[in-house]
Amino acid sequence: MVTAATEADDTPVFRIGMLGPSRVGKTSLVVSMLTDGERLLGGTPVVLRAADERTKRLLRLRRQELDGGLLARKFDSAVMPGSLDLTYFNLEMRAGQAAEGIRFSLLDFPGGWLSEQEGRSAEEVRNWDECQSFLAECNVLVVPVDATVLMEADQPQHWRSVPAVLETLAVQEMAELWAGNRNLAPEEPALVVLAPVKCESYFADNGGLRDDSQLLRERVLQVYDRVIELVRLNAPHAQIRYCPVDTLGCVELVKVHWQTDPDEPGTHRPTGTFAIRDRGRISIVGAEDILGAVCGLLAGARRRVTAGEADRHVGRARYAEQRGQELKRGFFRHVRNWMNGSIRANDLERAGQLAKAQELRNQAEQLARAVDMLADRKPSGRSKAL
Amino acid sequence: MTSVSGPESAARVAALLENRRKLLDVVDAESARWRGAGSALGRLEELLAALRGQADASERLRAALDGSALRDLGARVSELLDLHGQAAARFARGTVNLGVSGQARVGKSTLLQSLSGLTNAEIPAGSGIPVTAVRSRICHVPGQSRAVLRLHTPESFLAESVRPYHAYLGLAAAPASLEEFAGWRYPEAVEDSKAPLLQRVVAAQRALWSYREDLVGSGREVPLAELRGYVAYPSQSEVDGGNPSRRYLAVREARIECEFPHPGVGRIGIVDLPGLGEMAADAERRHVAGLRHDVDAVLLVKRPVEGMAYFGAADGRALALLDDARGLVRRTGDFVFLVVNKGSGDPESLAAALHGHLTSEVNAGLPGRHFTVLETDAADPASVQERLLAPVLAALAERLPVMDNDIVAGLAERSEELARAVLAATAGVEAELGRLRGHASAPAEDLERQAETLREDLAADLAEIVGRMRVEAAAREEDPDFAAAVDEAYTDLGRWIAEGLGSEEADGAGGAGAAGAADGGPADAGHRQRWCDRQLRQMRVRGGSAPVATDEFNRIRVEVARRFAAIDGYFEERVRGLHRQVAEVLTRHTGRLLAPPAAAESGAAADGPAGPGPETAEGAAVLLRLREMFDDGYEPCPGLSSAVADLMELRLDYRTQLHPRIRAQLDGLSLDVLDPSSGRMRSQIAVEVSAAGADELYEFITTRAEQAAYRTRTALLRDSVIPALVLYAAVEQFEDALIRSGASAREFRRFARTYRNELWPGRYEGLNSEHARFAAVTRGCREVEAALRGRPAHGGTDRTAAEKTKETRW
Repeated sequence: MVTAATEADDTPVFRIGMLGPSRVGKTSLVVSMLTDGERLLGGTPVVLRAADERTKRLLRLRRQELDGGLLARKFDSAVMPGSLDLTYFNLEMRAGQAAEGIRFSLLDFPGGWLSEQEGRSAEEVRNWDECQSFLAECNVLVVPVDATVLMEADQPQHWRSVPAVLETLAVQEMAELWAGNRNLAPEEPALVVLAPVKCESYFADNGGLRDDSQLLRERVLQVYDRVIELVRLNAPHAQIRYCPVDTLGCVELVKVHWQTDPDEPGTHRPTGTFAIRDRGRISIVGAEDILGAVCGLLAGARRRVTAGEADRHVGRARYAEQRGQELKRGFFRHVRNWMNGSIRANDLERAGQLAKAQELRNQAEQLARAVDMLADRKPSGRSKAL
Repeated sequence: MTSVSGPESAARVAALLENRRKLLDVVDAESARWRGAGSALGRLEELLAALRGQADASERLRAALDGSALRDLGARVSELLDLHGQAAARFARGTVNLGVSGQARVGKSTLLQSLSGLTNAEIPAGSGIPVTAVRSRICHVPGQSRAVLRLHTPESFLAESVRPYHAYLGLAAAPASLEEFAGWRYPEAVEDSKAPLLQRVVAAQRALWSYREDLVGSGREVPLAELRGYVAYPSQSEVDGGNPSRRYLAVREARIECEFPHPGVGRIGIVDLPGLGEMAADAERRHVAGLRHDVDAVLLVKRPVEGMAYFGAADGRALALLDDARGLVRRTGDFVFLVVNKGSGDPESLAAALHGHLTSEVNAGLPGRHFTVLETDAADPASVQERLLAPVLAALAERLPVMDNDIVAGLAERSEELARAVLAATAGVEAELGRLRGHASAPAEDLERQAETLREDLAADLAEIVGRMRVEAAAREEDPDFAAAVDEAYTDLGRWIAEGLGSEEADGAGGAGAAGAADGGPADAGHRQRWCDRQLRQMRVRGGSAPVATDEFNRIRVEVARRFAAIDGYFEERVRGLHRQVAEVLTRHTGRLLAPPAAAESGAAADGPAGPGPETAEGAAVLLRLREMFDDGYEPCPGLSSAVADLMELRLDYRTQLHPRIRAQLDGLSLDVLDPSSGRMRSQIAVEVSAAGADELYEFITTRAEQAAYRTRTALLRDSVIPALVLYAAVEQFEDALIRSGASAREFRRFARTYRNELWPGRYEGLNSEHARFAAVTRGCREVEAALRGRPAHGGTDRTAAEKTKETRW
């Protein structure tokens, strides 16, 4: 199991929880965010990349799968029952050769955790504790939704299977837990992203011929209505955004076949067959909206720290930590750590190391500009605040 | 009269024959119409008879509806149909037929020989006594030389050749078998005028030995050399020898096929008519009837010899008979040509005398005024060709179309006249019915209560159906049968796509290989390869992939729509199901009125339209019967009828109701599509003209086809509630119109009065049942009128028969 980055090195780590069943498209979404981040940061000295070998390997495997599908010009997809493994994706954004940057840790929460608490092994219990700890820390919750499941359900037995296929009850409970944690630190920003993925066949802005985007939004809001309600109830300050994503952009749904799950006879699971559109060039749309929303949180926090508005909260977080309370690390503390580059540059300057100070200052500013640039980008027409 | 050459004349005759065949359509259509009208009249007569025959029928009714007018009309319809039959035979004939007639000894047989090239050995020509005894038809058939005889049966021989003598001789009875004929004792003597006929019948009796074996009733082919023995009277020497053979008595007609010696006679037939003065008793009348069928013109031969060189009383009778034979042809002169057979030895003075007498007697003093008189030497084929055949054919070329049009116009005139008479008669019957209505009485208050109860019962049960349909429509639950029908069509379409987009059909290959499962296996690869090979050839021919792709997309769109239209079977079953439910309710509450005819007693219910069988008795057939009862009752119920009619007209089908809603799902099945981003049309694919290009195109097109099929299926399933909504709306409308319309209560009372005995069997027994039978008679009148309008009330059997006739003839 991969654990989250520790606090020992004081590298700012921003945690993002991802809720959804296996193969719903979480890895592909991370690949899309990374790919789109690379595109958006192109021409700047700042890069976004996998922060560790395991993440690199996971993303590389997923990319290989996708590339293979594109070459074959046809592939199938199926949403599988959730596994009980915890998976971290660690990404980092850093300027040039800087030793420090911003780290994003995305945890794939297995939905099955909530429904199967009986008879767990010791390791599973430890994993669950880790999950809860992560939930307490993460300010962003991304809920990837397989758009195909929602849009291609056309018979009663399909609709009856949707909660099981998308594990919506588990998502609700996790979201409720997360929102409860967020309510303990109401000054900190909080963001939930409902992110339908595999949306290529329902939008007409990226090579598709049909526009069923309104229907998709209606169905997402219908199925995740309780999630939205629980977040609003438990964390009224949390932002909720709707960000549909074309994970690849160059595919198009041909047909969907629903089959009875042999392990769950009452459940029908869809398998989609996709064809490649045009020349098969990847054209991701919507991932930048998620990146932008996350960076928007960071940029806003930096401005508040700069303005001194966050000091009180940081102090309270430190106080709470000393008493071993829940709020062990504060979001603003990470923001401050990120901003420490400028502070350390000041110290170096005072110590006469002007060149090094200037380099550090430049790197910090470049990173800040990159975050601002991503945060201030105008969202695509798809993204909506809910 | 214009003289034309033989070949030219023959060509004109051939053209005339082709043109006259076109008149068959008119005659056939009219025949069909009158057959229908005749049947309907017969049924109406039976219905009237049933009405009169009821024990409770009043004297007034029996007197008013005695039906004699209808019987007369039935006979007239039969006559009109006979005329149509004769006209049809005339127009269908492949030859122009010339009849040759005349008294004995005028050289008729000699003329036939000159016309046909036959000799004395085949067609006997005597001088002084009649020699041809059988009506013969001689046809020009190049290279042929034979005769086909149509022989009597014993029955037809007795009926046509013996009984007329008995009648003419005033004998009380006639033989019913050959044995009786053989042993019949004829009187020794009769009055002088009848003596020749007595001699003939006795001669026939005595000669029975010679032709008895020939009375077999079938056709018999004989060489021309043997023909004479079948068609000639015995010679005087044979008669003198005692009881000669008379095989001609067994022959009804002879068809002789031989090659004529004249140029341009390909479509000419010659009918040899025995001398008019020589025919057996009653034979003249039959001959005249035969002429109407068979000949287009008659050559009446005269000869200027001593004692015959004038137009006498016998000639006048013959001409009168021929005048009758022309039927609807307006001018006798078009139909009859007078031929003076002047042999080389015949005196000129007698010839001149005969011509003079003909001018004064038949042409009112002006040659050619009424009849054309031709002179020829019957023994000289050249003279016959030049002076007889050529002018006659030239005249016919001119006048035959006129005669044919006379016949068509005459038939139309008679049809119109008869139709007016029939319609007047049915109107008279209906008027009498109207006057007779209302004299019966019933316990009116009780009947009204019953009518209201019936309406309430129907309202309650129909409301249940409406309720069920409402629940189904509101639940928006998918009908598993609908989903199954859609899935079946979808699977079928998927198979078609996998099988190379029907490449087998396009190749015309078919066979076992074409039906391989769509599993991506070797069979599918074969289909794919065949498609690619064919389309690559097309791409080369058409200079690129775009035309091929366009054609394939068009074909697929049509196929997708066509295959999904298979769900119409489901829709039909739904409509049938609704009709069945409503019919069950109606049948349950209407006594024996709507019970299947077999189960119903006689009366209005049993007199309904063509008997629905057990399967069709439910549903639509019941509704149809009810509607007709609403319409045809002696007190019609137009509002209730309209409600039933609307329910019967309910249509639920893919093409009109669902296809327009899902049409957009097929948008991807076009080469050029509207790009929503740019607002411009763009081509979806272009491939190079190569095997790889064809393969790429196949992949693209089949993917688009699969996608369109899938989307169509999905859209249909999303609209699965539409059938339920349509049915719900229809049955609710029916319930409203039947139960709650403004005229409902009033019309239910009318309905109850009309069919009370059937609706409530036993309750009103003892009261007369005229009302229901009145309704049946009214329906019978409508059937007659419908038949006359050319639209048979039930079935369409007559039209089918007409079509069959037409097919056979063309």
